[in-house]
Amino acid sequence: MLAVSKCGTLLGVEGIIVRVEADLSRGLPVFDIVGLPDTAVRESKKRVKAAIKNSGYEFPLKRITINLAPANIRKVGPHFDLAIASGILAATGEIKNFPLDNKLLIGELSLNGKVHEVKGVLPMVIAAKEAGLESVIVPEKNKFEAELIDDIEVITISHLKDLKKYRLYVKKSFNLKISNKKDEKERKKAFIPNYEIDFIDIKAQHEAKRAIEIAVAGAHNLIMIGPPGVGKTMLAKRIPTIMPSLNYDEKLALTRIQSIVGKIDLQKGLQNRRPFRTPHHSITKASMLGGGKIPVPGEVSLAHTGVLFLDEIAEYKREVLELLRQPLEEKKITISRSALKVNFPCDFILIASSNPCPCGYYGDERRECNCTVGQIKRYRNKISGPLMDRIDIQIEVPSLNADELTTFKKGDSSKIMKKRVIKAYNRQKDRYEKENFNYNSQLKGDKLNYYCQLNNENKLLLKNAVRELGLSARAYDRIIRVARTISDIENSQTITSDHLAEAIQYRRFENNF
Amino acid sequence: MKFKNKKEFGSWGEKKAVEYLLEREYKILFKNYRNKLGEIDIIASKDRFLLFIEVKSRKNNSFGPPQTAVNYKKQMKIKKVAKYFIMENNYKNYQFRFDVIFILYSQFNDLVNIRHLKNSF
Repeated sequence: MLAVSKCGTLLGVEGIIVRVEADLSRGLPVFDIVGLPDTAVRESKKRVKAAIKNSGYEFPLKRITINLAPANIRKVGPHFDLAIASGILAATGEIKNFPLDNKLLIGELSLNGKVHEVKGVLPMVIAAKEAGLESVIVPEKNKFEAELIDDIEVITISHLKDLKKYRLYVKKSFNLKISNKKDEKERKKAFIPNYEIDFIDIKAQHEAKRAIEIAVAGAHNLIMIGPPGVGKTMLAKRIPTIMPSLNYDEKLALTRIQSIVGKIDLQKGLQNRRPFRTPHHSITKASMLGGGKIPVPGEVSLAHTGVLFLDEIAEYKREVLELLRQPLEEKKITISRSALKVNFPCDFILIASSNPCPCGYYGDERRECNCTVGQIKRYRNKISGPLMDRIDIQIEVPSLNADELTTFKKGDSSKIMKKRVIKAYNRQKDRYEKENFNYNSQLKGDKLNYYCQLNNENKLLLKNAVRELGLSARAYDRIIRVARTISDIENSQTITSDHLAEAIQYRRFENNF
Repeated sequence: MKFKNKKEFGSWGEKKAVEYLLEREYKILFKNYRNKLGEIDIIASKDRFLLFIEVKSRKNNSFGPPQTAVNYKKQMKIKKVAKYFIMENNYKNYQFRFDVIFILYSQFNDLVNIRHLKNSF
């Protein structure tokens, strides 16, 4: 007696459909699971056995063999319970009126037969849709997550005994894209993220705010250097408030990642907030990039579509910082383990902050710095040249004197800044319509020359700057890129000398951070 | 039928199993074969098959179904004894099979139910 049900497993952010074949034959009762099951899957035997017994079914006294196909992929996680249990029940004929083909079953069983929520439902539902399955059966708590995907029926199950009754809660999933207008409006309202913080909270620091605006508009990486207590962290925290809203694909990509790590807020549906990740400086290599025997996404991937903020960047382990170089370029990270290779997206803006020296007051007007030259040198060497090179915008955040603190001019609010950023975004989108990138920061080589033509006067300006400041060839490209973004913010077709001059001063720490 | 003790019931069950096998033209080679590694209830043969048979007798299911009583440990033990037996007696041109016979005896209506699981481990 053979029955086949379907379940999914994860390979990175991709879901894969797994055929769960249950065979019952005569012989001494044994219960075997084959097909590269991991510990949690192997333990599923005990849960399934107890759950079947305690749900009013009879557990067959037969030789039970479960095969998880394709057998070459390692199966992880407790979500196979439901598929295994229903496979066995179908093989014994207990749930004859419940056809298993065309259904994806996901769920963890408890010993009393209840179906519990699991991680990673979203990627598996996407895989089910791509495989052309009709419906997915998910635990009640994963309902919202599953319903994010259109054109597939979502059925929830709370107890194993419901299979027999087949009086399940059946509902067509709601369609995110097309629906009547009133719904759409309300949904949109619910999808606008609320931030309790705003750039208007920050006193003065107009230059820093301007630089941040440019960084966000062109997806440039940014480093802020300044003494303690000037508001570097405060500035960074407000960056998500000026980033444009996520589009559907970005939301889906972000939700996928969060679904895998189980961080998803199930009631809210697709994640609409851009992530702002602030890993502590004691972070290890594996948790930064992602890893493990079965790779899980790290901080760089959790920051996908958002901001990775490294506060006090010089305090991080040097080897951890060096690892960032590749993901910053590639916008995705490949984690290779002996058994498998996995890709995670990691398209983020790197925002770093640092003090100018170990004591923090080098170059400050208010206090004397008491670090030795050696100390300062060592501190600054923590950030390697190649990494610094990838940070397009380098700014100083100075301390404010008493006058500035009391009589500060109110700056722009996040709302106004966001408007300018969106305008610049749209300009870039139009310009790079035919390209496979979206932002100025991704301009390279020929493309850079093509999209950022300079007139002779500007070329001379840049030439002088390079000579006087001792800039590298790579810095030259970076300046042009940033200048391009500035001109986008200023709504200008061409790069003018003003834009270029502003861009040049964002390479302030090229040789002397 | 009344039994004095468990042992008597057990050997009665084994007797029933032997009767059952003889009816089906099995040749009984040993009953309660013993060596230093343990015991096998019945060793029989039929059509170039050498059978090692474990007999389980039960009066009720209060200790669970008899199928679950022949667990992995017991199976391994029987296999070890069987290997020793094969070596000792030089049975080369045989195929080997491990069977389990369940004897279910109902005291209410004096009925005996025999189930023979062939090639069970």
